[in-house]
Amino acid sequence: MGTQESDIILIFISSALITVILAALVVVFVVVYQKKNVAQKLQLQELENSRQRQMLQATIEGQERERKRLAKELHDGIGSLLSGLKLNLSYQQGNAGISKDQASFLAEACEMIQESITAVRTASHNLLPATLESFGLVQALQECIEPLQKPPSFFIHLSITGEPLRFSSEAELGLLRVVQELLQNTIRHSGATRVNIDLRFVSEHIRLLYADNGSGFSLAMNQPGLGIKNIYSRIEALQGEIEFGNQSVQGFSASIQIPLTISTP
Amino acid sequence: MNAHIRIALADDHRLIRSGMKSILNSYPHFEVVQEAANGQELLDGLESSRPDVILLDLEMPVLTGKEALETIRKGNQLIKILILTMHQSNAFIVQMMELGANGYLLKDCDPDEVIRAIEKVYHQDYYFSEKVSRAMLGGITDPGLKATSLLKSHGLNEREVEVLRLICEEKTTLEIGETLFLSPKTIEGYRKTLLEKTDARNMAGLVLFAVKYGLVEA
Repeated sequence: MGTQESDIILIFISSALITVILAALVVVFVVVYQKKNVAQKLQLQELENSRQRQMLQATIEGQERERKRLAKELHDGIGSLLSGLKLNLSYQQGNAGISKDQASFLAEACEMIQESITAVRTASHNLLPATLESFGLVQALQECIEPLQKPPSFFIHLSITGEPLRFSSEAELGLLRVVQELLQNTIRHSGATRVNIDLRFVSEHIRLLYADNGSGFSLAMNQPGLGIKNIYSRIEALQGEIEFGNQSVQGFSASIQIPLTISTP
Repeated sequence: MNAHIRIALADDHRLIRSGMKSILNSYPHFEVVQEAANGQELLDGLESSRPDVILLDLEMPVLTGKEALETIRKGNQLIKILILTMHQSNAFIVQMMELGANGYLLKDCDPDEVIRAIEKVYHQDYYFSEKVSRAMLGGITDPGLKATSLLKSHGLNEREVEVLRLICEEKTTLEIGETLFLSPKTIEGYRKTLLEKTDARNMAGLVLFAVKYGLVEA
């Protein structure tokens, strides 16, 4: 009787144990499976991300290549030819054999050509400043800032820390475009009177601090315009990071960091 | 004053060359002795054309104006090189002058200016257009470098600085001599010393040096 009872208890305990072990196995299996699943998903996600970044890079590169071609064509092709035309016409102007009417006609023509040359120069520069390729980011930035300066009502201060190295043309161009975009935002929306741009060349990366004393960036962020989206995608394509400053502080500020792959020009 | 000046033209646009050529050839003391469509053509023809002055475009296929300038300056400091380009930014101007150009002209300048520039580089070694000088003065004067430090760092004495100042005022050797009551020969000597002490390639480099040290102001 006693043994029978203890047998039953034994059977009961062992079956309970087996059930628990089985349950534990199932749980472990599920956890492992899920972990694997998540890892796989993450991997897929990463693949997808890098594919998207590559596509973004390719799109931006394609755009920029086209812009560069256009800028060069405008500047060195059409600009040069217009200059040649002006040279020839203004030479005729000094010709003793022409009438007063003809001379004033030529003078007007020259003036129109000069205006066209200026327009071509500006358009080409807006597409891609020639200084960027030949002299690098710092020079190009200085050149882009110069025409925007209107002291004392608007002043941009550019400071450089570290040795301004040349780096990959994509990164140089990307940063230039981001600064241009930020400046446009400041000028259009913020009412700022001063902008500080601090460019730091550190060993492995380049850091750009941008700050203005305007009304802050709530406007730009509430309805993220094309400008801000452009900034994000530029920085993403360069595998960089952007952080916007604390909104409680007056003005708009952003901190950008781009990993540096130094290229020798 | 109207010495015969031999001129070479380097520009990749044929029409621009021919326009410039007919303008230049209408002056009896100018002679266009070579036309080149790129830097390499220019270099290849120099020996037989022997120009006094080269009008050099920067953006050209095969060999750019900058490369041609560098190559020429390796072996020849005497030939006068005037850059004629669309690029108007300070960086290009300063770079070309440092590489040994004698002057920098923008392509959309007046023909009178081209003529003036050619005569000026031929007779006085350098030409800065007003626009370019202003750009340069704004772009390269280094506030850290003061005229006083010029004396110490490069061992220039006061007389030499005086001569340098007068050179920057576009005075000729004769005029400088008259101002300082010295013979033209002595002034020539000063010019040579200045070139040596400042490591300048030519008078243009000398003026550039003076601008950098804030000896002349806008």
